[in-house]
Amino acid sequence: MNAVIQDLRHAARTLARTPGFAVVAALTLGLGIAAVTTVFALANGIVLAPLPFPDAGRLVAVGHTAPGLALEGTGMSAGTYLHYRDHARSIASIATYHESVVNLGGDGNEEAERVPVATVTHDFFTVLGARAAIGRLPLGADADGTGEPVIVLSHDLWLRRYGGDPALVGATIAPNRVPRRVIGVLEPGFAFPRRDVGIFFPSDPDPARARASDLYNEGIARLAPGFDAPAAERDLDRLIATLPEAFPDLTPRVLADTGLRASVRPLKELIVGEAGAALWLLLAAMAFLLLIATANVASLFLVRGEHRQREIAVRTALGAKSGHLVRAFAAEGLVVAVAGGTVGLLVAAGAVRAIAAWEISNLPRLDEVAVDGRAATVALGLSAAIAVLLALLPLVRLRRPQLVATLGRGGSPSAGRDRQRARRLLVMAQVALALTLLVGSSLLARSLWRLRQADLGFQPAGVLTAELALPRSSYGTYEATRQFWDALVDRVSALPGVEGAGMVSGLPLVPQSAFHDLALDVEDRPQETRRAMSVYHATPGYFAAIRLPIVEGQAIRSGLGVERPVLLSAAAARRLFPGRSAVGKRIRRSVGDGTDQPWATVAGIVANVPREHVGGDPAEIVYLPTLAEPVDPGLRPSYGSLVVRTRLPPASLVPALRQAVRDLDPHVPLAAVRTMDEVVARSASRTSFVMVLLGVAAALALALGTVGLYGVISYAVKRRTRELGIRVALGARQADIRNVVLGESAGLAAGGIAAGIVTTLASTRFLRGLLYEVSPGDPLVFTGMVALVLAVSLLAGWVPARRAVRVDPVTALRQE
Amino acid sequence: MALIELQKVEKSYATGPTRTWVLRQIDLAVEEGDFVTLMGPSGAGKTTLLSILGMLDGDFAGAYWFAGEPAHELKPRARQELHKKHIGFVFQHYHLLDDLTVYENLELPLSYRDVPRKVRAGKVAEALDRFGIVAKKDLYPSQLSGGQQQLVAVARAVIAEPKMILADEPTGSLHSSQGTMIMELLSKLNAEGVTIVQVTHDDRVAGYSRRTVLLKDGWIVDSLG
Repeated sequence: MNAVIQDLRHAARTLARTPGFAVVAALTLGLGIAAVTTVFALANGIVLAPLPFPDAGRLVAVGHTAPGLALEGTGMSAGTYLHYRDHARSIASIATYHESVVNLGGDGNEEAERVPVATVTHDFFTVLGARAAIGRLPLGADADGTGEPVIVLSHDLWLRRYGGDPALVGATIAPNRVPRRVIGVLEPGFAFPRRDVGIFFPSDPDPARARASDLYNEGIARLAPGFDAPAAERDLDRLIATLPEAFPDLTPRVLADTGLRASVRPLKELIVGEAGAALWLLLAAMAFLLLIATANVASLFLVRGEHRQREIAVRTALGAKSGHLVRAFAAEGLVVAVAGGTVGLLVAAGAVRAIAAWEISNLPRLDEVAVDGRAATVALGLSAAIAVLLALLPLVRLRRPQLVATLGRGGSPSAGRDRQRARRLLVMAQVALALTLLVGSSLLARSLWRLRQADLGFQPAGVLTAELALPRSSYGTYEATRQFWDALVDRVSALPGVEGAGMVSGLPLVPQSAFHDLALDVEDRPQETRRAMSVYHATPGYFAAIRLPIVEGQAIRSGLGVERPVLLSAAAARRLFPGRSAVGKRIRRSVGDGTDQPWATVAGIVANVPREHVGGDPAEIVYLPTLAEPVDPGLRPSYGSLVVRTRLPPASLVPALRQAVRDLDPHVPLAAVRTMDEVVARSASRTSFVMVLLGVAAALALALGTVGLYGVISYAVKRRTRELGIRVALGARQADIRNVVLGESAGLAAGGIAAGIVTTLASTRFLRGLLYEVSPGDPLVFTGMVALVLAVSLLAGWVPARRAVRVDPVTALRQE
Repeated sequence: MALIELQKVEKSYATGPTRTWVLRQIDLAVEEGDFVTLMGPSGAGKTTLLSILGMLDGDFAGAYWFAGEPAHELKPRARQELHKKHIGFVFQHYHLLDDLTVYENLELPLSYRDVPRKVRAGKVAEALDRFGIVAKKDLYPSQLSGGQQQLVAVARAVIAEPKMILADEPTGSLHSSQGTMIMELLSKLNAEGVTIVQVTHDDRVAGYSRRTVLLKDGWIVDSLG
């Protein structure tokens, strides 16, 4: 132990005497470690770490697929919940929930606020294993509709709005102006279905009135021991066949038409979604960066190794065994590793905080991400493994017979050549990896540029949007909601600087819950009924406000002369009426229990808007105009997004907008106030996030690669001083000398680029999912980046070349 | 019994299709307590011979007996152990480790021989005292003159109490008065019983030894004294 401490002390002292080497090695390594640790911490917190619930591995999301309705994912109904709860062997406990938003406050001086809420079955918290911080969680009797209405608050809302007042438990508050008693506050950190859900309404379905076919709720369950998700799916599929016996609304024919199947997925998969793929991609990119940094540090250790051959020989002559040498050199590696690892950890901790605060990253579970023990272990472990291995490089190819010669002459020339060859290979590898990262980030940048150029169908610039919800207590009828929207649109349209305003219940590029996907019947196609489509309410002025053109038929206006007019998006028209015009055709909402809804007539076709992200599939939408005569009396426009086009900077309109709403109803708050440009940017946020991180990695890679190349060329020039002196003495001109050096630099770059093209072609295909109208082998990007790498390589060779042309042959030839 | 006995020792390496000979048919015996000088022009094979004698190079043909042990038959590890136990080195360029103090340079051979810390401290103190360098113990090599550095190097060579010191041009980098001091020190050590084999180009330095072996083109061409 003493010997190890002594070795470490000596190592620290040796490094302190060469601070340039020590600092550059530690910083370079630290940079690479920071890159990997940052993304690892994200992947660890988001993808690898179990969800923050007890025994979270047994939690699953339960839903359905309905291929007959072309629905890939739909939720749970009251009927399926009761049926599975009572009969499924694979499920220990099951619950359903649906999210919505309520208005809180607005009385007197109290600020009105929109609060996301979840209506949950009473066993929701049992399934998740949640606990109350104060008060209690709901029991069956709280949710069966027989007693006093109760609610549970999130810890965040309790602290933020009510100052953490313990007396709130037992008190009554009035979300949407309906009084409810608070029975408990959840423990801090509970963040399901989302962190910002502030209120939970316990509500169990009434078995006597439950329907099986309204699949609008989300389902979660805790698997029984011995079952995994596929086994549970088989178990539920078996039960689906018996649903019509228990719930007459789901007839065997409807069941056959829809092709209803259970969908059981690990809950983590639902929460993490596609973020995992992006994170693994970034982790691979950061590993590339770490490799480049490692190559640079290796190069530093190799140069240092040349100066330490004498030391190795002396130590050996004094009786050091290879173990002694390994220990002494490994100790130096360890000191560099600790310094590099610490730098890496500090930078990573900062970067993780920055990413968590960076809204555009749009990643789930960000509040659970931290540089924790696991990430620290990865950082320090990687750092130690790399630095110790590199520190041992001088011991590689050590041949004892050379030792005395080394001591006599001060170095073995063949060992020096070996090391120089190794450094050249390292530089080529760096150039190759840097090219890969550059091409990857450039492909994404080009993709984003294309996305910005993409035809959205509407014009987002100059549009402000805000969400509003109208509580049932005050706006229980279609007419009440319509009047509110009309009045609001009129007031907002009259504001100075406003060019147009309207309301829509589903903004383009904002994913909506399956609640909006309703089955439709097509009048003259009885064989192929029940198509699921998004059904949105829209005031007639919405289309002009967002500049979404009518491509066929007519816009909605009063006195149109069409009974129950609707508009279809072009994609919806093509789906419902392939190969022919939809204008004038009739459709109706299908409710599945035989009660007929009135037919509506397609008055016009509206240009497509993307469903979830720019460049993605067009949304299939049926727009129900909010006219005095309701198109579908069963659907009430209880919430929507106000869309305002203005000549002014959109943000300057917010106070006037808020005032207009307050004047109409002080209990209705504005929420999610943002410009349409922000909505568009957010929809491309995953690509932007990956691009920015990849761009940073690529820039660092290019810088490190350039430094590496410069170092190798510079050192080569130094080693070749005598040769260059001879060349000058023999009559070489300055240009000849410069070309010799630049040629060497270009040769290394060319070797690296050739290898880089292979690695790049092999890796960029993993980006395919993030690219839009850009192929992974885009020739423009490849050519541009190859030219950039070549130019930077020549630049790296330029400084040593200038030094080389100044070699004085007389001085150079005197050197031995 | 001779401390060293070389029989028909040869060393060569391949250069393309031919072989280049470094040592040819070397027969040499060195008695315990002897002081031998190896001389010869550059490329004669002196350093290679020293390297074989020091058991740093085991790649040779012929037989090498050290204190009755067949060094030519030993595995590298055993040969290294033999080297560690019995041989100390002194070099022309001193080769003190720049990052270690005088004290630590002296301690190093002992630590490689797993000498316990307390015993090490005693031996180093004794060596510092014996060579008159106590005041220098915390200095780094760069803070010493060439003669002082070589003094430390000799002290380092003897601290593990070797049977034999191999010295490669021990005064080659020193001016004459320092060279004399070092040679007198080596003579004194020899008088105390340490066997010394040195390589030198300098006749005055060779004059301190009892016997001079002349090498040329890898052959022993003469033995004087």
